Amino acid sequence: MNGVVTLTDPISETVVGRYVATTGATRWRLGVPDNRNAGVRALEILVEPHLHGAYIAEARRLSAAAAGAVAGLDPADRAATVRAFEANAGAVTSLIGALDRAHVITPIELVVVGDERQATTRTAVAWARSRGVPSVHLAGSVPLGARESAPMSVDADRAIGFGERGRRWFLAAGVPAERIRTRANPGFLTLAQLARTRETVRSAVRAECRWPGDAEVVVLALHDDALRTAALEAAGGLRARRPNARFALIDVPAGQAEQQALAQLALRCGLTSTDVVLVTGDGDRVIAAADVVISADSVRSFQAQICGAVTVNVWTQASWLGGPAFAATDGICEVRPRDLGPTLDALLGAPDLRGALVANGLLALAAIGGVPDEGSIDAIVGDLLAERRVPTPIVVREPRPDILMYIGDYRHTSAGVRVVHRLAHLVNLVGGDATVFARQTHPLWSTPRRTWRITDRTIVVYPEVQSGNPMAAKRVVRYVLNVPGKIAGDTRYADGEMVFYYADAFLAGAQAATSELLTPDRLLSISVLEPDLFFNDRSLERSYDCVYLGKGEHIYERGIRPPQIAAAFVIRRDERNPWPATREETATLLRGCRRLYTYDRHTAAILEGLACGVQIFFINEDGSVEPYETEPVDYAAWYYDLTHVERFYRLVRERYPE
Amino acid sequence: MEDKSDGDLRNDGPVLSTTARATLRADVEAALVADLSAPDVEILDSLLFDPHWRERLRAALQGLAPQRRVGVSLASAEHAAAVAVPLPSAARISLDEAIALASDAGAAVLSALPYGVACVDDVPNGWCSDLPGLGQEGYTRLLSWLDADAGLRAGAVVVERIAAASAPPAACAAWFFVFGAGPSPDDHAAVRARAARAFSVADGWLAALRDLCADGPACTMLVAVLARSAAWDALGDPLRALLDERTAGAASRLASEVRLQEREHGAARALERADLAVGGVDIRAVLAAEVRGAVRGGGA
Repeated sequence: MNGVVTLTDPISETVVGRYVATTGATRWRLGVPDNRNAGVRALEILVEPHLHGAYIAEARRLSAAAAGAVAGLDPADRAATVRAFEANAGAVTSLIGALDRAHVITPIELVVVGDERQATTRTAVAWARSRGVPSVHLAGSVPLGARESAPMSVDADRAIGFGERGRRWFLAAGVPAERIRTRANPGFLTLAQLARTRETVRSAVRAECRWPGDAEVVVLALHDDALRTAALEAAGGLRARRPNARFALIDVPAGQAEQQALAQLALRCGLTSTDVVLVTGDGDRVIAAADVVISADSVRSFQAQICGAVTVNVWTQASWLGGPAFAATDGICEVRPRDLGPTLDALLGAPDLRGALVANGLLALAAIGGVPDEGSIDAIVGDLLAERRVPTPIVVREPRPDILMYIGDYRHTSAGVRVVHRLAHLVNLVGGDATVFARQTHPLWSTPRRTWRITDRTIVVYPEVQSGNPMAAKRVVRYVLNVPGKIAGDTRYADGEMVFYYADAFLAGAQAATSELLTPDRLLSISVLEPDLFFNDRSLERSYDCVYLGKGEHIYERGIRPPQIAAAFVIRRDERNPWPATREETATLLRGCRRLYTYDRHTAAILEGLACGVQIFFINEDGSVEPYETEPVDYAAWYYDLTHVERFYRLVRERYPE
Repeated sequence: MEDKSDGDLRNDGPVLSTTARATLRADVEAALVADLSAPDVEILDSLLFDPHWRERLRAALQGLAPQRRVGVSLASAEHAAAVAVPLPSAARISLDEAIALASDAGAAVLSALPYGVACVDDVPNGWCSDLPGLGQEGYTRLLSWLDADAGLRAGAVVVERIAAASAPPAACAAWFFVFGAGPSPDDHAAVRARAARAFSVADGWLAALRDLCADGPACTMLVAVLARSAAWDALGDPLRALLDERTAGAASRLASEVRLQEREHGAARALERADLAVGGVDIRAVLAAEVRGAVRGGGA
């Protein structure tokens, strides 16, 4: 089992929205989980707050859908619901995006959550389900009252709880029995070890507290002020009747003021400083030394049972209104606060009764996970993975270079823009870490946005139309998508800058701009021809011609218009008023087109036409028309081909090692 | 409060508990007492979880002597059909089926008494076992104290009376049948009529409630169950005020909390019909929890 993502409470609570100043981008950090011996690697998902903005549109759509779904609710409930969506939709959508990215880089084999109350943990589970990744809900404590389970639902594939009590809790939450596994409570196992040396521990604790060797030890594990007072009053009375009775307050706050207040309270209740000790920190040893442990709806009762002490739960009306924490069969004495004194008298005065109660409690312990279980967490998770047949090759990733594409907003009217955005997407697809310097991105591509923050190690990719080095990057790549300087940008690049070119037609221009010899492996041909849009539909009758102006519009405007285009549709890619307006419309037009005449020899429209089976003709500046001949190309294969991107990524890493 | 000591009914033993008997109308109970006062009565008290219960019951009913009676407690099939939650498998039968089974064996149903609205744990009640805010686990834990606390048991009787007073037989988790030699001359018409109006009108339950509303598990039991059930709404204002007074206002708060949870669940259910997905990830379950929280935090 390798490459496990953990999204337990502390992680998920802080991960989404954590600001990582050193990276400035979505990052994944490999952590070292507790169960390192099993070879499990944990992955934390860190999402920068500003990256939530990339998901704003999706979040808004989500909020609108949610508002529609709850339209029938009470107006106040509806408004509250919409507010909740607005507050959480960004985190939900960005976490899904982050998980998808992480999954590309390091296959996620398991999602582990410790709670499904938080939107983030529930999102992780929903994500896992949709992507076919197993998920586990790993309970972190023994469930006590119904308050803990009432609003809870469990969607994870597998629920792992502590013992029979944990199993019943999951059953009550609606989890089918076949999805539930149980395990021992590691904390309880530690106490069980202490219980084995109980007499030794008792002697040691008595000595440390300077109590008589035969002291009767009563432990008060109470947090509520009123209950503490009631218990200390009972202790004071008991001390007067039983000279050997001694008392320990555990789980005492570390603050001096609180401790002084408790000490004064004990004095007022008739106890001396030698009668009672205040214990901060770990109270396990004191519990292991106790004859009787008093608590209120606390897991301390179970801990005391494990250690062989009689356990008393202070009964309060309020706690029972939420459902009693313990059943009659749990072997725990339920006592009203006012009855504590007589109860302690009875218990300390009757060793046989205490023995019977302890024996009864031990019988009940099986239900709370203090006994052998269905296996270790690793074994249970291993079974789940085997069941789901998840491929588990370990993927060890080397450090990834941080690559920023310095490009504007994504728009379909510019092939160059689309090429650079897609380059970022493909780099991420092959395991890289690329971002774009843009506000608008392609909705389906993995192109996280980036702000100004870069480091000395950031590799910035500039298209050839960009002049200079506005990011002041130490590592620069020039991507020549046309003749340098022809449209815009510099005609000469600084020494040390790495140059790639889009097509053989631009090799000469690119070579002229750099002193570095450009070998064929610098060819970086990225297709932005969507195969599902641009294809040769032989079922259509081709009844019209088109003319493309592009960068030759000035020729057209001069009146150079051969007779062949008299009846042709004019395709304009004007930034403000393009026609056709969308990629889909362009593709529809070209699929029905017979001939495409173009004034622009370096335009993606040529490839789009060829992909659609259109005959291409160039219009020269003198008005002559010449056919464009080329070899057949498998455009669909080109679109998905990663050869050039993988080569680009390798060469960049070689040039700029981490 | 009526005195119904365990000696009132002979031979019902653990099968028909004190809480169950507390729900019966006087005339229905009188008929039951008459049935169980026969010279030869056998209670089949281990049938409920026996996979061969039907064969055993049929065998017990064949060739019944005129004075012999057979009493048995079985889970209610009418109840299982009426509730939407899965119930543990048990010997489950409807009144019609019981009559048919008895007729096949040459016997008749003399009494058919529905019982178990709130406070029985041997035959879980589908409606009460999932009370909002208490859940199945909390409910089971609450009932576990019935045998350990006499005051709680007395409180359970009152709860059972209040809950049963306005409930149909299908609200009951179980039947208690008394079989005798057949056939029934009126095709069990009288038995069916008594079963349909078996519950007592709970005379004296208000006074009993006053007695029980002291600081103790019984009072808590009352509040814990009543405030979570439809019976809370049926209680009059004076009674609710009394419960509140004895519980320092906790009863009303709990009832409000329960109603709030019902609203939360209602809001979450509204999402189930929505198309809420991000990148192909169905997030309805994710947001359902947010909706519940939103209703609690900002709703009416």
